Amino acid sequence: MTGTIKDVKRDKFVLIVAWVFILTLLIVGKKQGLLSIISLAVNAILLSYALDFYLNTSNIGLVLICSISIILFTVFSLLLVNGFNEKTYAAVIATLLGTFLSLLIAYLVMWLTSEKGLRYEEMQFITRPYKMVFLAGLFIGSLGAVMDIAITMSSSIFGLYEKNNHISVKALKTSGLEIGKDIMGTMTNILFFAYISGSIPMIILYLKNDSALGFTLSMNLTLELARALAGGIGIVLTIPIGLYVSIFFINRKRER
Amino acid sequence: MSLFFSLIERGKDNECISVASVYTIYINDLDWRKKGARSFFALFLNFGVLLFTIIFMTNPNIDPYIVTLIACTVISYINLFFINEVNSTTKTAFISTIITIVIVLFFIVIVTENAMIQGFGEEEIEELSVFSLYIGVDFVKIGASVIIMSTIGAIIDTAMAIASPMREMYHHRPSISKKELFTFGLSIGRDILGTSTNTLFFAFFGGYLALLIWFKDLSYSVGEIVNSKIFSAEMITIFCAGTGVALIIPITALITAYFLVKKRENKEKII
Repeated sequence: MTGTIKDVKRDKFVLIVAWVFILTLLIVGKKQGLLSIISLAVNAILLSYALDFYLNTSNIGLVLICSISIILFTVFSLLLVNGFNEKTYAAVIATLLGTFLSLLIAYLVMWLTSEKGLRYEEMQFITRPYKMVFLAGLFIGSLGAVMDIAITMSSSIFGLYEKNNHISVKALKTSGLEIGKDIMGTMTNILFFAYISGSIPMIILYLKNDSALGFTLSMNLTLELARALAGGIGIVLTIPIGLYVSIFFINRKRER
Repeated sequence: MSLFFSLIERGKDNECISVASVYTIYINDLDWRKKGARSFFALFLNFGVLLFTIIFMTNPNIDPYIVTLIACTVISYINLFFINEVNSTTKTAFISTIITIVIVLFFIVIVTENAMIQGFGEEEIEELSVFSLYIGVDFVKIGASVIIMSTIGAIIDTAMAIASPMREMYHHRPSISKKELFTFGLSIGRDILGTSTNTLFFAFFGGYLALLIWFKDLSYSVGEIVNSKIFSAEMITIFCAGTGVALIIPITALITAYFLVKKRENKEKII
């Protein structure tokens, strides 16, 4: 019997880091940490099944499958981690509206400008129609940021209402927009760093092979920038959407 | 100067990105005194820092870890002190961020060097055949730096999100004890922990959707997926990012509680 060496066995390390992550989350987060881990695991499994479904069925668009998955992700994650209350319902609706709207706008912009400037050549492991894969990835990526903003807005507005049941809708609107503006910038920064840092090794490779800086940046960063900007648009849209949905729920609660 | 003009030239071709940027600028409403405009401008500053970091990393004589630590410090400085003013909250958030980054970097370095996830994977290498890979830069260190740079945004945001309400609580109840303040900080952190990890998770998975489809189309077995360089690099990045975000919570709560209460004790001593 003979064998060949193919590659480094890494699963041990992935598992170690995974356990460190889970332990830290459990120690710091206790019950909420556990719920977060469960929701992450379920999301991953959902994604896996959604992709299997897409790959084994012909004629169903990837974006459609992602839309359905996103609805499931949102509903499940928010309900699990935040419980079955009106805050969560408001956040779920705001998230879904914000994500779909941001995808729509991103798609419109791409269509209107005929995607001039987007370097699809950067996409590397492509086995399916690239535009669909890119849009679907955009969709899922902005979901994370939108969910965070939606739940923050929803918690804050409901928090203000709980402190003072008679607070006027106008005051809620003003405070809500102020809160939104505060978190808008930092959220966009998070997305920005998460996406662009991944391209650093490639950029270094290009630069060391004597490519011009402008060429390097345009070849490597356009897709990441598009993702970050789509996320940014989603964030900016979700602030007023989250605000109005929360106010709608609060008004309904008051009428009872 | 010519670099600047060549970038503008590129801008003319990049209609798509320009339109999207213009839209976000419009929404951000560029009034300098307002925080929204400063946050938006900070994006450009951050990009500038990243650019300089990359350029410094291409020099093999400079240790990438030092560049990363300096870059992280500057980025924290921009995001904390430029967007929000210098006050007790931002100072404690800044210190907590630096401490957390050093701890997480230490951990990441150990993992990266052992798991050998630096550089490019099998799946990527075919498309890079045009390039010479003999570029004399230490990719192990760059790999670790990349992981840290991906997380820094989330770490800073979480630090602020905890320090800020803690200060509000301190103002409302100035006689609050260190322990109570710390517990309060932890409880805020627990609430946002779930959504922060979800944000990072979805951002990374959205970016690597193509890779997941590739794995499934080519019927990789579970063993092959987990051992592949790119996937394990991604998973390790996500887990390290999550650990970083989780760690910053108790560290910020501790430091902020300590500083706020110390400030009060100093005031009492003076009186």
